[in-house]
Amino acid sequence: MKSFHSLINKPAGQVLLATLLFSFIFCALFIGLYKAGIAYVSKETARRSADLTCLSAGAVYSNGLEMIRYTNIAVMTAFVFDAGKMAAAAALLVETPPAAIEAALQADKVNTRSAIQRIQTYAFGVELPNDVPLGAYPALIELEGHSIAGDNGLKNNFVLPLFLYNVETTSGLGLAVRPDMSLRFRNAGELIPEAPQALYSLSHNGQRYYFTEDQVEPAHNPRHPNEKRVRRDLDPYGGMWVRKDNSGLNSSESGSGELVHLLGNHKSVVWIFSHLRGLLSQIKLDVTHNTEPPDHTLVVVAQFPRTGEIPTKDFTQISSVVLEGGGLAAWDVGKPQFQIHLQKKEITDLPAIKSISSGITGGFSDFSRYLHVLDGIQ
Amino acid sequence: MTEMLLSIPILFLFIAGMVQFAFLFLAKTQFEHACGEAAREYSAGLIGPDRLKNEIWENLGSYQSYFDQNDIKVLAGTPSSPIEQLMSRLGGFLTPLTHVLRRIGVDSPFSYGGYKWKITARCEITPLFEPLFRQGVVFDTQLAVLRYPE
Repeated sequence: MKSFHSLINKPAGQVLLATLLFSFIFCALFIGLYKAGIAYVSKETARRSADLTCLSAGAVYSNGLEMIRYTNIAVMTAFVFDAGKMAAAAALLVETPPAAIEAALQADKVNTRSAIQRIQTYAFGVELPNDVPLGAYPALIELEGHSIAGDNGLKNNFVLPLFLYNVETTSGLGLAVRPDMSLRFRNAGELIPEAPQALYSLSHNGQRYYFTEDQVEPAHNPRHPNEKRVRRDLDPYGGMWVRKDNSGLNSSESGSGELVHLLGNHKSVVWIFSHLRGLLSQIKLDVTHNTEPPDHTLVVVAQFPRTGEIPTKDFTQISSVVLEGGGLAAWDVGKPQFQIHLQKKEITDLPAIKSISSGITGGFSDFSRYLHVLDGIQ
Repeated sequence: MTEMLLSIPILFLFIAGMVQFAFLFLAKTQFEHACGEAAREYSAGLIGPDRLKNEIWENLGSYQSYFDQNDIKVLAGTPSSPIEQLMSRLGGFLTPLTHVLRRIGVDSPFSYGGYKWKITARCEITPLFEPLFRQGVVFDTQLAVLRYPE
């Protein structure tokens, strides 16, 4: 120890200490640079792997949507036969239209398209029974995604990578995790255009508010007999005068434009068919998008293993694709196929994070309201 | 003074190693990025599988000087796919269905497909340690992607 003290007190000893210190610093810099470089490369590889996995799952999803178009051809072909049977049943009671319609609906209870619709139900997971967890094709999307994830070097087990389906319109993380293609069965009533509804509006404090036909009532103004006002039971504008607004007429729902095109938009014919919407809504037809505009998105949350780290740390990467295309009806077969686009997605965009953050925000607002109540008591 | 003669070369060696590693990591990252972009272009249908090597070379950009295009090797394989395994097992049962589909102009209900690639390239960016890395440093990566339609 004495010799060490005597050594470091000498100029040569101090130079040696300084040299050791610099060497330690540079050694630490070197190791830090090496680890940072490895992490940088791994991060790029993780991002690439997650993107390719998401694109691959999107390709399988897109193929499924195209298959639905072809199955809908079969459904509509079967519907032609069923429509003939319904027409024959209705023809016997044509003099009493309500009975004719009832007879047609009764004849449709046993139809040829039900078998195809049942196949669509279990194959694509459309309106599944409660005891069936998921459809065959959505399960295939999940399996193919897992398979490609393994080929891309991502962690591949029962949980990871985590695929989230159609998060833009799904309520909650639990539903988003379940493989689903966001589909439903369309009914015949949706093919018929709805009679355009008049819109009424009023302007209050510079803001314009709109009301439908069922939200207004006659104003009983003797000078202006056609004048309307907001129904008195509707707060906060009950009783206020409105004027007819032609600029905001409701447009027909998607799917009914084809029938209008066929009928040539003859108003009298459209009026007749629009009153049949309620009755025809009992006839189940083909598969269509569950939401309008359609939401077919896929989010992948994956982990890329980082080797050479103690303790081991994995990169968590998130990637998202959106499928854009036309309709799924039989007459959409010739249209362009669904295109797959990568989109930027942050982890805070996921439903669970949204609900947690909104829950926290709601909790704070409730707490502040509680404090205001306490102020009032004081 | 003797200590200085020993330590300064070691310090310079550390600095040289840091500079060299920085170049290598940047080149490796660009290589991974180039492979990923080429695979994305394939999945978007912009290029065929035989154009992947050329696309990787173009995506290397300013880092092309560190690589040799002829040294980039692309080994293509089939990605593991559950549906392909199922189809191979059910081949006999599905023959009538495939006949019906071909009549209406559809080759197969499952029209997606892809590749699994193993890509290697030699990076010749070792100016400071050339005696140690005469053949450069070999980068390799593996990736797989499906696209629709195949």
